Amino acid sequence: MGSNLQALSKTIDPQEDLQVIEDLTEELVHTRDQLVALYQVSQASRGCWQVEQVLERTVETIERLVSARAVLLSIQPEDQDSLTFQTPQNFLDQEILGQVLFCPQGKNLLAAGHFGAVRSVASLRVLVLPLDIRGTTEATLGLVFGKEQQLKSPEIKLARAIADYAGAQIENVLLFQASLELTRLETEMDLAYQVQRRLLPQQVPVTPGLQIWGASRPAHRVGGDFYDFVANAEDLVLNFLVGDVSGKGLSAAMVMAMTRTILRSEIQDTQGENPQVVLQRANSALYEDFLEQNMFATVFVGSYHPQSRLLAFANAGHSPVVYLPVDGAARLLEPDGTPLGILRQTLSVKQSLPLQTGDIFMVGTDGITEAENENGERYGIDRMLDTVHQMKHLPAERLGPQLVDDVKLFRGHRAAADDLTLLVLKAIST
Amino acid sequence: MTNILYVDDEFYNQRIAGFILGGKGYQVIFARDGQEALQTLSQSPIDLVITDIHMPHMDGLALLEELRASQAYQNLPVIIVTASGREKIAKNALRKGANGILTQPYGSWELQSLVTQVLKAGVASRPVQNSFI
Repeated sequence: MGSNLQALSKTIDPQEDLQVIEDLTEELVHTRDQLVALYQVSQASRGCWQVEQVLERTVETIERLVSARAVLLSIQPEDQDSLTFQTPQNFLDQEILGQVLFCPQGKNLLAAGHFGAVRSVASLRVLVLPLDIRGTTEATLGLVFGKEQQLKSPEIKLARAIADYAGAQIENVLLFQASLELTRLETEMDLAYQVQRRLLPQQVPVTPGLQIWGASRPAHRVGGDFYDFVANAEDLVLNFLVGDVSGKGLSAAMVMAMTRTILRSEIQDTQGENPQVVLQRANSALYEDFLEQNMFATVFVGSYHPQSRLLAFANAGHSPVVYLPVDGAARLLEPDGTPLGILRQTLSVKQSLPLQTGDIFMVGTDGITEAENENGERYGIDRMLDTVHQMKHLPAERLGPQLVDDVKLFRGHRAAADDLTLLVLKAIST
Repeated sequence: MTNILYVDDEFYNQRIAGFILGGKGYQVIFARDGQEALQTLSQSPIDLVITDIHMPHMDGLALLEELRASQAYQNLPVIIVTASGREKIAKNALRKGANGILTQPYGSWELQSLVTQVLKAGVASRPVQNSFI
């Protein structure tokens, strides 16, 4: 062994030694940098809740890990503009970037079935690796090397691993953003629900000789059904309206608010003297808007005069409207006019009905008759008429809730598909 | 030319720091412990001291105390290099007047960045905010 060392010492060149040490040191520093960057990978995107931040930190981390001249990372979230980060900044201009990271057809490489490609750009080579992110988001990693540079497999593997990790981070960020958006929408829906609840009557007006009960239950948080009272304090005439705007949810709710306001305004302007005129004028005011939105509303307007016990009404396509005379069978009153927003004229006429003690007059919406059970059967008009007939002895305040409960019972576990509104008037002795 | 005194008894650490900082154009002078560092300081103009903690004869914290107690070097920027998991020592060093903390193993960009910041802060009475702990 001693002679071997002696032999070695004769061949040592100090200059060469220094160079070797320098080279080894360089390699050592590079390897240490990779190690430290790896330690920091999980920290790099911690607290980043924007996709841009995750991309930025990822390219910075990969830059430290590989000996590429530049690192590119591009992402195309669903329904959003693509985002691209490169380090050093502006290393490649946008046009070349697009050519490099995407297929000629504009598709992301993964979508086009590629699993990695080397592209030449001027005097550079770009290793392009598509990333697999769940959902429809597409992302691509690009490592830029000089033509003379060797593409080292361990480095490429490492870059790919980091990028896949970043892909998982991006998925989390996108999920987080989607969850925030959902929370925001739910909050807005809650607010819309509060507003709509306040638009419905908070109490029933006292009208001599009449029991009144009303309720409205949207199928979702908000809906297109409404009912309202416009009482005339002077002569105690009760004007009421029930409506059903086409569609469901927030759009129907917005149109409902507008329709209700206009109807109320027309009732007040005409002092409730002619429901037919109320409907015609409301239709004129709303027609263009309904046409624009491709929507319509069925509306029933009634006006009860306590002194004469006469109920005047007009019906713009609304159903079900039920009249149950004290001494007869319940019957459906068919609408004679078209819903608001269908034609320029509603064509409904004013009708009158004298109410006797014990008579019941009911206006509902199709959330009653079209309620479906688990077998796909509908509650239907006949069942409704029959149920109401059996409950005719009940006061309005009990008949209404019991009918609504009966519909719920019929539906069983099936969720309500439509808004349900019911207004019950029962004539009593004065 | 900015002169940096790197104090560490491990040749390996000296080589790495020398390579990283030399590559950025700094002149790096080495000392093996606190006593040697003080001797070097008396002989050469030094703009920044980077020191390990655990060394024979005089450790890094003792060197820091000496520097802060002396009139000539009380404002000389000092970066302490400590092992990972030694947060108490790091906090202690900052209390004693260190301008920055670096944790082993550090990446080359961490050392370069901290040196730049500490030198820029100049005669800092407070430590640089993003020490790499």
